[in-house]
Amino acid sequence: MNNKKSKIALFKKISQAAVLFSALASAQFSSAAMVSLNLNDILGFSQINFSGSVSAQSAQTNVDANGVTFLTFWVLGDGEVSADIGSQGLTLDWSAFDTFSQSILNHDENTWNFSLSASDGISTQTSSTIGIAPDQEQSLSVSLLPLANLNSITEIYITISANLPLPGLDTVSEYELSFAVNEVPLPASSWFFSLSIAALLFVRTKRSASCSE
Amino acid sequence: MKKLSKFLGDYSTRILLTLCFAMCFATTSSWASMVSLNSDEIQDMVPVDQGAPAFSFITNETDEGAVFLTFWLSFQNGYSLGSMSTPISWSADWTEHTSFQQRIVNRDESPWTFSMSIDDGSNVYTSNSLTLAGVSGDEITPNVTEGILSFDFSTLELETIDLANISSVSLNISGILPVNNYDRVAEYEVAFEVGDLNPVPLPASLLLFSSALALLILRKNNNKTV
Repeated sequence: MNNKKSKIALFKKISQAAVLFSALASAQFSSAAMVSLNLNDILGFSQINFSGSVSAQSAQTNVDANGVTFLTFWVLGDGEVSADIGSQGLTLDWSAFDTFSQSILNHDENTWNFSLSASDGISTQTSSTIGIAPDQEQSLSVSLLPLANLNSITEIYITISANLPLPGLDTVSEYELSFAVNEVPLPASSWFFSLSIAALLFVRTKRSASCSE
Repeated sequence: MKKLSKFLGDYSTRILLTLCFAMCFATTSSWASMVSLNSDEIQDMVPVDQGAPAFSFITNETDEGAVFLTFWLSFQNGYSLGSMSTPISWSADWTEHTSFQQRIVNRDESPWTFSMSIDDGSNVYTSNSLTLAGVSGDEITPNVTEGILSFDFSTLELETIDLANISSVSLNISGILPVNNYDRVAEYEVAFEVGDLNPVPLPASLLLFSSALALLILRKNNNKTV
């Protein structure tokens, strides 16, 4: 009889340990978090590159509580064009993150294409290109895991592109890069939550064990 | 007597035909009374430096005109004005014209206000103001997203204008920044105006009236002769 009880107690302990381990594992997994740009990061953005038949020009035209509005235009632009808006020569330590995400609001009267890139100086990771319709906001995400030097991100930028002219003879784009919370505080809370659950379960098991004795 | 009446009949017919021709000529002349900047003149327009930090560029050209961009940077707030003008080397003699009209299309997603100015070297005359609504894509709604800026040279305000020495024509764009809480970028098209958009159909009515009058008199004369 005692043997059976001890077996049950052992089984309970093992199952609690398994629950605790899975909670800790999930917390550890979610600690590989998403990073987004803050106000100062975005204010430092400027045009760093362009492609197409004519040169692109960009400027910051508004700053408010939500983000920074940019203008990118092509004088007499025709055909496929693109421009990169971002920062170079950075030394960002993103080793705690596995995803770079940025929200973009298209203020223009036409749909424009956007993508997001991050580089560690050796290679560049670029998100898929998405078309954002007028007055629509969408988030772009790029996986950072393939980058070898996550502790030294040197370049981040968004790319805007289109086949010009767009309807209405449009060669001028207006878009807003929104601020976001820089680090998602999910890992810390997960750690606390799972630890407290584990402690509660442990105390309860001990009490029931002592009661049965 | 018969010869005299025949002569008078022929004579009055000739007079009527001459009158009819004169009226037709007059109506044709009045058709060409409106003037507008043509596509070459529009495409040659340059930004006017007014001390305000407005930046203007031509971003597209068509057979009918050009698309322009005027923008202000993020520190510019409140009422702001930007202008595009004919170059310094440009001048015109508009003594044969009675009005000026220019078609403006708002190509931006936000509403902007437009006006035009004419400089005769002594004074600057400014047109009516038009606030044109924003657009989506390439939709154009007459009198909503596009409109006509005009000068009627026969009005009292413009009777002193020296039409022989027009030295510049400017397009002014303005807004209270930031428009829609974010927008400091205006996109607009200045289009060459081909036809007279005067709502009074003067040439057609004159033609009809004069031809009907001529026919009536001719018929009366013919009846008299018979």
